[in-house]
Amino acid sequence: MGNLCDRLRVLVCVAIVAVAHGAAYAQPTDAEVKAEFVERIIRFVDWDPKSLGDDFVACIVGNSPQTPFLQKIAKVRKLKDRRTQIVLVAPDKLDKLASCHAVVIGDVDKKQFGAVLARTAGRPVLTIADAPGAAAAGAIINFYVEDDHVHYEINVRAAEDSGLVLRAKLLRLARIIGERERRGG
Amino acid sequence: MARSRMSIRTRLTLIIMGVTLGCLGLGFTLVALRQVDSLRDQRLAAMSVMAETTGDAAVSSLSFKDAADGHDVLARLKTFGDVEAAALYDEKGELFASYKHEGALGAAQWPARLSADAGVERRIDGDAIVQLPIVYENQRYGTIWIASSTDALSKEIDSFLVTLLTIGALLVILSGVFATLLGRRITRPILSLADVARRITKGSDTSLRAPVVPGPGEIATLASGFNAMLAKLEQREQEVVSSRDTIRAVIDSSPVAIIGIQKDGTVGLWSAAATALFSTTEVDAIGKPIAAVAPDPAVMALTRLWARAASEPVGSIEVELTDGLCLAMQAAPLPGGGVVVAVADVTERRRAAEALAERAQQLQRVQKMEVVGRLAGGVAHDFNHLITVVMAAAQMLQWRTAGRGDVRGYVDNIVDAAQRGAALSRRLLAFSRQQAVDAKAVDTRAVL
Repeated sequence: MGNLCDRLRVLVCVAIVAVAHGAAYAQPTDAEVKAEFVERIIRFVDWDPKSLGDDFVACIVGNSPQTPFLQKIAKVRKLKDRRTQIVLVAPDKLDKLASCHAVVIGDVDKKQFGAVLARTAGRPVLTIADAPGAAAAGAIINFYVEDDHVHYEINVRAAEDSGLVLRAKLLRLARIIGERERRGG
Repeated sequence: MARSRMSIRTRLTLIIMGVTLGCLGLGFTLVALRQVDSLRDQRLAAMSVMAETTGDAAVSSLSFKDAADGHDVLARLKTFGDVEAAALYDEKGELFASYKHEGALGAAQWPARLSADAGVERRIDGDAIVQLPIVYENQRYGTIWIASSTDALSKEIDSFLVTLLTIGALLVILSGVFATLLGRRITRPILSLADVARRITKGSDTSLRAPVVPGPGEIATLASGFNAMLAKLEQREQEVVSSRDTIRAVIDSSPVAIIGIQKDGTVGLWSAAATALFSTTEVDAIGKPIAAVAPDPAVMALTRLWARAASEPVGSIEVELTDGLCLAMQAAPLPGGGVVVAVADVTERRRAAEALAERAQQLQRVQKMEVVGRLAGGVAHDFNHLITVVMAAAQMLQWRTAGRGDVRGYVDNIVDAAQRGAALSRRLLAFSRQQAVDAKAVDTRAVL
């Protein structure tokens, strides 16, 4: 009986160590990576200082797997040298977008997506989507996965329309959308 | 000893060259060390710029975890042939991307990981290593590490050192030429002074003067002082010549022969009177041993005086030569050794002295005879008085004793003796010239 107890203890310890080890070396999820990318992308985007207040307001429209990670980041990091405020916006209550500097578009339908873009169009609001064709549809930034790596594409035309300045460091790794049309136009 | 035999010019040249070479050596060493450090610093600075540029380009890669892009960024370093290896580390210090130059022979190998706060590191340790944090807008993204071959740096340093040594060699040659020229320039006036001094010493021409370089330099001062000294010397010499001529005139005008005998026994001075006395000209006498210019007894006397001069302040001697010539010599020592002898012909004076002595003796004898005569005259006079009384008394006795045969004989003897006494008295008076001499011829044989 005593021998069995000792074996169980050992197994439990091994299990704990294995779980801890796995947690420590676990690969970050795409959502986590994308949340981190959002923070990094914002680093390389310049807003007109007049359009920024005391806080940097990042809004998340709809459900997004990045939300907890962004909230976590917002707690420990500043964005654009300002306190970071994460505002969750329901797709049917887009009025809140008026105070947002960046909008992460989560799980929304096409109509809601268009409404978000309509609300932010022509304003210095960085729109970040995570859906195929979202950049082409008008989002400034859109994530995509290729070769098991998260990448992003940029609609430079939308960026120009918003009045935001995207730095070369951001553009260098991006797939550019809308440039040909812009240059052609 | 060898150093003391070196000329001023050689010493000066060596000193200038030594100082120049010392300064050049020190300067070149400092320049070389500084330049080598500078080249190393430049190399590290260039690598730092390269690392900063590459790190800046890798900000996106690190920011968005794009390792492939990181590799691409590092791969651009292949344009720099001496970059052997490079690595990017993320903000946690984990190796993010790396690059190794194809065919790199160096042993450069990036660290497996770095600390998250790894700082700046620049060093040359076989390879040149630069490690820089990648910071963009006060945000650290990671660290870049670059290793570069130092072959080019070594070649550059070698080339610089060769150039420096070449320049140094040229400067050494130039410094030698410069030192020689400068030494000549500095010593020329001094040698000119020395040449003037030598010519004056050789030719006794004190009217020579050293060329004076105009200006306030020390050499000009020296030349002026030297010329002033020469002027003074010339004046002194003229005074000496004048004094010597005066003394010479005095010596030659002196009836006494004056002979100077030098320390070595040779004749240094020969007056005109000496020429007349010894029948030897001054030209024949000067410089010759005294034995060669004077008759033997004189030589012996002169030699004796010359020898005594060292111990006795003044000596005098008289010597009679074989031809009857009598010389009086008086010597006085000369300050530098030797003697000056005054030789006077005292032959006549000596003869005169001898004649005078003879006369004096004769006079003395005459005076003695005169005294004796006077004494004899006095005695004869008194004796005559006595004889007169005796004669008178005897004659009276003759009268009274005429006929007395027993006493007549005695009385006659008295008269006879009184007559002979009167005759003696007359002769004594004649001797003393108090009475005329009754000179008459006598037969000396009868008298004797």
